[in-house]
Amino acid sequence: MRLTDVMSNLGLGIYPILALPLFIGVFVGVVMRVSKRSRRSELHRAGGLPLEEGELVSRGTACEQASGSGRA
Amino acid sequence: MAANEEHAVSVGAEAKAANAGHGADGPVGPMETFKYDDAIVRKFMGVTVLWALVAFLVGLIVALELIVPVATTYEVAGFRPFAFLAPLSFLVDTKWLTFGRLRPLHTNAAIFAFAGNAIFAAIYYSTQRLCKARMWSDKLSNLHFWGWQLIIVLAALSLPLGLTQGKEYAELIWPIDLLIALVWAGVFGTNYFMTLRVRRERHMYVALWFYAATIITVAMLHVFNSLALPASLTRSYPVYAGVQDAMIQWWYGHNAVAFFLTTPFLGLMYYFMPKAAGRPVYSYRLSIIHFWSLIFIYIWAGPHHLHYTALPAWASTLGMLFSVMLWMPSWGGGINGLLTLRGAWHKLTDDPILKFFVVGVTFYMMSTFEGPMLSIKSVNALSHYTDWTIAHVHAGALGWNGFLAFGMIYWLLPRLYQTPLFSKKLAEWHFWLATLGILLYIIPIYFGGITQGLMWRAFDQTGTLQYPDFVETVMRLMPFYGIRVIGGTLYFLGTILLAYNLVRTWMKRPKVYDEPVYSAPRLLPFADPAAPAFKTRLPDNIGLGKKGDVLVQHITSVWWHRAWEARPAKLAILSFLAVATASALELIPTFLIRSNVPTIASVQPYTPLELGGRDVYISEGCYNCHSQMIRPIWAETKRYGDYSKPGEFVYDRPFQWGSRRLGPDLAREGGLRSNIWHVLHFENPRQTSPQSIMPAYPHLLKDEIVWEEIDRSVLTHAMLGVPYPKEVRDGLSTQLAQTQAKAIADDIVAAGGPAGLENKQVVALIAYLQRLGTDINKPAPAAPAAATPVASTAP
Repeated sequence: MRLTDVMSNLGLGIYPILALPLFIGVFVGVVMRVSKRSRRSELHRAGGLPLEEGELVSRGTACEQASGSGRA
Repeated sequence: MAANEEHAVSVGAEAKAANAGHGADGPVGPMETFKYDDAIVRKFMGVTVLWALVAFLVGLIVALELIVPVATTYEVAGFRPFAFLAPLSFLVDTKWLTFGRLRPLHTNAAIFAFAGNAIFAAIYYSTQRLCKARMWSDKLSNLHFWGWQLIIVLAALSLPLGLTQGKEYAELIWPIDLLIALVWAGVFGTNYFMTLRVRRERHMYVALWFYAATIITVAMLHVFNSLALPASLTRSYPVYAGVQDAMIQWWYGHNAVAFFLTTPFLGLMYYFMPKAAGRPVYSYRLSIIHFWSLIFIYIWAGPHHLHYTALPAWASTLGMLFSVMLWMPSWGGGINGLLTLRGAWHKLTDDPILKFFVVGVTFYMMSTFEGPMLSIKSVNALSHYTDWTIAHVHAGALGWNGFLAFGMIYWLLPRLYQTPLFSKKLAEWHFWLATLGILLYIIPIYFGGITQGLMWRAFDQTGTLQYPDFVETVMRLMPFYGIRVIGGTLYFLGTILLAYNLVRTWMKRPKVYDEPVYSAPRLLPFADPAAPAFKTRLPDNIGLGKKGDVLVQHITSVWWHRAWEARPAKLAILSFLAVATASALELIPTFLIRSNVPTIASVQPYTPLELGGRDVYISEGCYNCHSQMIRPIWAETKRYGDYSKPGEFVYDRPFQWGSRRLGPDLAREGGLRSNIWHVLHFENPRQTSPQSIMPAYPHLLKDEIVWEEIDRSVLTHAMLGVPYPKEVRDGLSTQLAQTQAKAIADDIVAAGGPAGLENKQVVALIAYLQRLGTDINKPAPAAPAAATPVASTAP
């Protein structure tokens, strides 16, 4: 007996139907997670991370000549 | 590790990051100083522009190749608008420049060279800053850079030589595939995840999640889609056949769009748009929902590329439903990106970077509206195989990927070369040229695609096809193809302006680049003091019940997500589970439930010569223009014959269903035309069909069949389970192939054709074509066991 014979008799046709409840479960979980009030300040700070670069300790003269180089 | 660039400057008492302005929860260690590695970003940015020029130039060439064959004969009202293109006829006469060989070069260059290097530049720049850490290993960064460029060069050399696996967007031969796996997962993946591990910012920003999902999923897709048994250094055959190969290929193909052209660019959007706008992302909550919804849904959508084919209907419907669901996260993410500019819209008027970003995100929203729409079966019935798909793809690639990459490069140029941008005016010109170029490209091709689809299905009052000659439908596209070339040229000119701007900015760079030193505290292992300690609420229950109650509380509190957000390994595992579970649920039934691919007793393995001809078919990239899949749609069965069945493809490695029809479907080509017709057609298609836009293949009448390769091909197929009898496996295949070749060559001579073709590749290809779709009408063999391959009877 081959693996295909075994799998064909296992009734795996239901597998794809599991997709929808699986997705809804994940989706609801994530929405619950991000909607918690206790996370408001944490998420607010996290949203601003691209605007941080770390604290600048030293910078040479070459970079100062660049205009519009912002934080980098 | 770049230990020489990183130093602990204060060792001693732990500092709270929040007090130091780093805002990370939990304990932190001593302050450390570090520098970012911008040299690697400069390298990736430079080659992004270089490969963009190559990819777009090859795109222009393949667009011209659809016009040049009829440049001197195509007329509109007595005028020949394309006659001036006649000197380019060498494009369709040179074997390594034919459309079938160059089109994969164009797609691979655009996806893996241009877009690939752009995302690497974005990832190397933003990951270091979001992690407040230098990349884990400078050596791995450089190995990644040079390894990837080597892959691109090998692709550029091998594809025009006809060395291909014959699977769209996965054409590269197996040694290059191995190199890709090594460089992507072994070098890039290791460096990326180790950088996350040594980061100094507790929270992993959502862009980092998108990058992580990209690395994991692309590795998974590439490995599983590339599983093949080599027959030689340049040729291999997939372990999957027919329907299963189609399923795995489009699981790969669709998700290459999702996880190579979407998720990393979304990471780029979530990092660089706030940078350019100078304000945080509109809703960070929405970005988290965007991430999980997108990676979970996208992976299911692949089968929408195979509607009405021999794929099981349930898989096709499932792919459609999940594609439609993609509207939600895609538009949520797009709106999130655009609203990031709230209060900064006024900057748009004089900032080309923001212009590129805004139009790029707008194209993302248009493409992600159109994609699900095209996945709806009734729409797909019209659009599939037409140029509508080509317009859709280019709206995404040129608009979304291109514009985001350009916006990022213009933003990076002054920062990386530490000098002002050479010319903002040229950047503005680039934006307008490229925008106009996209519109002139996609709008005519939309018209062309829909025209094609409508003409293919048009019937007259008597119930016969209104346009029975396929070439009529191709000629109708010529004006659109002409305008498309103008659009592509404008887009290409815009990219030349970018390259010029880059070079002139680079020329003004300082003699020595400044390397700013930053500081941040080292992170210590995470132990959140606010994490709830769950106790059972069921004191009288059994032990298992108590444990279950604690588990339920833990899950419903969703506290676990917070821990995962801060732990790269767990985030990576969870992302992998999301994509792998979906993939397994969709693929396993197709692969292992017998009823999904009913076998047909009369379908027998290809003869050795036909197998050799199939290799020629793959090598020439015929699948780029010809499908081998007749859908159960009246207009198709009327034009091409009985619809294709899953069981007809069980010996097809790789499957050759194709995704576009610039020429007619070939699924039932066997026996339709004489051998001599095929010889004349390959020598110069205009000899048999004056308006054909197919390249000429005179080399097939000169290039010899390598009989040893046919031997190896038969043996490899036998090893993969194709039931060739022992005598064929033991060396009889050459003799069988030569006998069949002699019969076809004699038939060609008898019909007045050239002599001496019995050892030429054209004979093998004709043998293959004459076999296509004929088995279904043959009687089933008496014994179901190993069957002797039967040569087709040429007319």
